[in-house]
Amino acid sequence: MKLELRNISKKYGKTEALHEYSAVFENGIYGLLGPNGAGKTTLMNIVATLMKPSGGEVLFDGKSIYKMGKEYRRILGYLPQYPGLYPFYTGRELLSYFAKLKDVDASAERINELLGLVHLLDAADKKVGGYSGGMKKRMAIAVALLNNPKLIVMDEPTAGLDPKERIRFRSIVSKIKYESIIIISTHIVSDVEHIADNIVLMDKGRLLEQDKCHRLIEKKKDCVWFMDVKNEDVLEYTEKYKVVNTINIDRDHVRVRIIGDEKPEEEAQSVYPTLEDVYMYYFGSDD
Amino acid sequence: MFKYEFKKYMGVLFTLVGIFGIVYFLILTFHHSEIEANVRDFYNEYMNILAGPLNEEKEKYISEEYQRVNRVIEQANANVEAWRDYEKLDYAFRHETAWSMIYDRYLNMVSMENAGDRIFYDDLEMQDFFKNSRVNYPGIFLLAVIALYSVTVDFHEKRHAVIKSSYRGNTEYIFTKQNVLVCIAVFASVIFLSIEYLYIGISGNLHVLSFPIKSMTDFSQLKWSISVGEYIILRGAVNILWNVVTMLVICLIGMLIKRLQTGVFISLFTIIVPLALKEMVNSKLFAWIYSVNLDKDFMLCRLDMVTVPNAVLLAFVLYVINICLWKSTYICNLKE
Repeated sequence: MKLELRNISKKYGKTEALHEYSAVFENGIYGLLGPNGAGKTTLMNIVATLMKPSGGEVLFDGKSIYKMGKEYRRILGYLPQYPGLYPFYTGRELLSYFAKLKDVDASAERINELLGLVHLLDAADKKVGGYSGGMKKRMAIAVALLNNPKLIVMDEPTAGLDPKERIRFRSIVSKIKYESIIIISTHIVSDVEHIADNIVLMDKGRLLEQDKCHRLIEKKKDCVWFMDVKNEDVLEYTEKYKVVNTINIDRDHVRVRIIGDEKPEEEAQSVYPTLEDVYMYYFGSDD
Repeated sequence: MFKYEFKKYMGVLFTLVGIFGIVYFLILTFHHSEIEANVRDFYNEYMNILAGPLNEEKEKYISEEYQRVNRVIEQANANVEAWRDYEKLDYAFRHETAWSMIYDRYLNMVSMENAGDRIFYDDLEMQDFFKNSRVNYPGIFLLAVIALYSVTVDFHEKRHAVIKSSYRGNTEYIFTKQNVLVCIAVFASVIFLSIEYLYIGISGNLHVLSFPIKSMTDFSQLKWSISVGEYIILRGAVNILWNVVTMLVICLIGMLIKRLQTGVFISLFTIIVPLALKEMVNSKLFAWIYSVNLDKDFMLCRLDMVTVPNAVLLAFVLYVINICLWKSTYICNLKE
């Protein structure tokens, strides 16, 4: 399976949310990273057929999704940023309702299977309106998975979740063993660092980088440094370099983590980067 | 899908139909007749004599009474001083008012082609009922709230995004939603019609249902020879049709506005306020707004055989517009 975006553009009046964006997605989990306003949600909406691009085309297995019509939606699972679930249904009823909308099997076995996957079996007969934010998000994941989608689009799936729920979310996504393309849009690096096979970096509607997570990290291996500086010098270093982290090491000294293409100071030592460092490399500047 | 869609509004539906049903019944029950008690007494006296089919004997009585009343008026004009007594004047005025109602009705009867329609019966409560229930504001408001809720609930927290990205969410969904709304309009209309019948039964006017509707002065121009009961049923059917149109208009407003509170506000100004203004057309102040259909009775206008096909056509057009609007709301137009 292959999802291909060819020169996708989207304009809102004079504002260009996406500029000739091209990318290819094949089976696997893709983490779509970028700051606010990068165009992630616009891209998600276009892939989820909620928005038509101003230009370019979207192909699934070589066919235009606009020509595939509703058959494309049959293979699509969409998890929006806000779960948007109807509060007056119980969890079980909600899944049955969306199963009808998706024209798929609404058997009790299938619904129980999904409720089990998202750890909501105990709350299956309670009204969704009484669920916590994390439970609603998990229910929304179950809704997205109802039709065994070949393409799953998740827009900011962990926004507003506490750390425990975010870990739970990662665990659920890791369990999805379908032969599918999963695109997760987020600006929280840790959410995709351990589950995404591929990382797509976006900014201002353009593709910056797309590669395997370890390769992206490898590319920036000589760009991350640390050095110990006096407390009173921290501000000077912050202004001079792209400081991404500071850790107090004793009363007078602080260890600063600096990102840059060149070694900042003679005493600076190179460290192996994390995905967060890569993110900060591209998007860390205030401007 | 119909069952699930219906369940979305079931709570709101039964609550509102219950509340507004009671409100409507109370409005009907506690509405005070415009006819004052003394006039009613005179009217009753006349009706005791005249009730039943018009015959020669009754026509003779009417003719004599006409002359008698005219004589009284002439005497009054000739002797103005005597009529300065307020009580006497008031008594004469009420008597004359009751007589005018009877005589107008008689004139209306003699102009009728079908002699079978020439029947005297006490129709004051029914006339009053028709005047005051011809536009069912609580019912329209009820439908507005339900239709708006049904549409805006999908836009709350962008729920429509998940619906529209699903297999049946782009076309079949809006078909189902509109079908549910049509069923709700029919259901609510039937409830309100039942309340009207209940009111008629309680107010002791059930016997009137079998009389010809044309014998009522306000309905003398009606094209069909039907009974009051048949007229109420026909009126109910036309009301259902118009309520369906109302429901679809408000569905359209809901899809454009997307918010319940704003939608209620806009609906009030697009549906209920114009209807209220139309009701006020007799005040002449608003007559220029409604230069078309200035019928004395709004229901007559609604029952017009031209209006009914127009309502059907309008409902169909709205149905299609709503489908197109839903398909193009915040979405690309995929080939279905």
